[in-house]
Amino acid sequence: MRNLLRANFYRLGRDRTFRMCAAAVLALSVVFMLGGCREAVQKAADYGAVTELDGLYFQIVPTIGIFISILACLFLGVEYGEGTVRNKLSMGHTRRDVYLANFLTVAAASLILQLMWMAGACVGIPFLGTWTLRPDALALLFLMVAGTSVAMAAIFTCIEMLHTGRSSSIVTLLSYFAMLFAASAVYNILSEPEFYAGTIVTVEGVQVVEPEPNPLYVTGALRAFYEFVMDFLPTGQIARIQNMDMGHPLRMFLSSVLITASVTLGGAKLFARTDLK
Amino acid sequence: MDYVLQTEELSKHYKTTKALDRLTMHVEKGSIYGFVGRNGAGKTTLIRHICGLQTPTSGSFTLYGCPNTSREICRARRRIGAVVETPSIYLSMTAEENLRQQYQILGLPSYDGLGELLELVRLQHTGKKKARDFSLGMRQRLGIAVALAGDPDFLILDEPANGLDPQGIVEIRELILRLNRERQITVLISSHILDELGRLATHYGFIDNGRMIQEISAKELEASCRKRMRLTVSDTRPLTAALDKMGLEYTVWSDTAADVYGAASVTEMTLALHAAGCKVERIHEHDESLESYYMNLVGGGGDA
Repeated sequence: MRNLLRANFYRLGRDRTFRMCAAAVLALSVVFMLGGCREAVQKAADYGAVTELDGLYFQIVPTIGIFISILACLFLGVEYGEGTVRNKLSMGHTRRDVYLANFLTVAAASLILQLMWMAGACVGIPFLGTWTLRPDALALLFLMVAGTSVAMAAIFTCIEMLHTGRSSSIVTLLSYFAMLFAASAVYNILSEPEFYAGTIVTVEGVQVVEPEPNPLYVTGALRAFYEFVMDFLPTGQIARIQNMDMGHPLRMFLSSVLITASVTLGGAKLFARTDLK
Repeated sequence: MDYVLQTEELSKHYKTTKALDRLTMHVEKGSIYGFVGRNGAGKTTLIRHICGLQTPTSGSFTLYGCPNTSREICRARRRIGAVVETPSIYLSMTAEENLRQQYQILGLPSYDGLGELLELVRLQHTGKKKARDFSLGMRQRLGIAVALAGDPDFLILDEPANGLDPQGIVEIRELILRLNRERQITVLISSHILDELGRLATHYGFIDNGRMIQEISAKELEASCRKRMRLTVSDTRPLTAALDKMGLEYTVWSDTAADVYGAASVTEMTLALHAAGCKVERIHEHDESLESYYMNLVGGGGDA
């Protein structure tokens, strides 16, 4: 296992895709933050509005998921495309070790991408000041981003390792976008207001606004279910983090741990039974 | 007999097909085992099983005496090197980087011997050239170098001459012979190119439709493929006396049939037999090559 990890990191260090992904996350982070800062400075000059760093800082988080999926499909896809997974298996490494080493490598690469985002977005500090969040709340957010990144690394590793065909890259990318759209749809449902502003009624010469219930507002068990989906799905967590909406941080983090553990264990078991060519 | 690999009734069934059908084979230590069969006969499937890429539906195999169901099979696999179908190399890496990667997979403590390995496969001057810019022959040799990185006792090569030019084929052949003779590496080669196999193999296994048709040593094969005349005569007793007098090598099969080896003169032989009182009824000349031997075995109709 240690040998496989050493070999994987040796390759990761020389992998052009990884370097390009890391550079792209860094560049996107810098560009997005500088764009946000320019708007913030303009708003401050025009209306005296104050923009905080926190709101902008986490806006780019969904982009990291795309780069993790690209990295997973290209880095792991090579193992099948160029047949090099055979070198590991025919040299006596177990399927479980090969799978776990690949997952740990992709997870580590995901965390490096996260660091790139964190470093790049710091260009906003000279313009907007530092975070207004308490250090423990900020640390919790970073921890949750790390949790979702590792959970996504686990999901993409599983898809790549079990899907040996040429279309695995497409499947990986599509699965990320499917999860992203699903989370976005659920988040929109949950964001519906409970009441409309309502109609204005004049009662004895006084205008009264009567709020009207929003038929799209979800309540009860269905709302609890949607809340759970948002906390459970890595992309749901990303949507929450992006909007600084920390619903149930513990549940969210435990969901990431649960997804990582179950997908990795299940994936490794299925990989052990897969016939490879 | 000391065997590196033995399979026992090994079968691999897919939904509708049998890729391996109760295949039994024996690869002797120190041999160059030529694994011969047409496309889809099951050669690569067997190699995939040995390398741990697939699991059998039934039957078993042992590698260095270790059963495939044992946990120790992984340890036994560390003694093999394999090139399955295409060379398993990272195309975005140089030859040296590929070998470094393999050294790390194997957990070798240092890169000692890496230069020697590159020299062995004649890739020492490729420098920073990426494997994607290599010729097919160079890739094949790099694949073999990667397979040799762990200093294996048993090398498995699946169609090593596929797509190579004549010079590439000669280079691979010389390399295999050198490895077998100088390092005593047992080699299992699957190939279509029977002429090429004929120059290397010490043992053969003929496979068809997932079944082992015959296992034979090169010496036995040579004996059965020797140029000979099958004589059908009235009585083999006077024939033996006449052939002994002529100094010819022969095998008597029955009271009326015998094989005479070598390029004997038919006129001289028939005259001698006539003088000895032996009536010659029929003469058939046999001059089999490995190819015709194989075609006779599997009944033709396919590409070996």
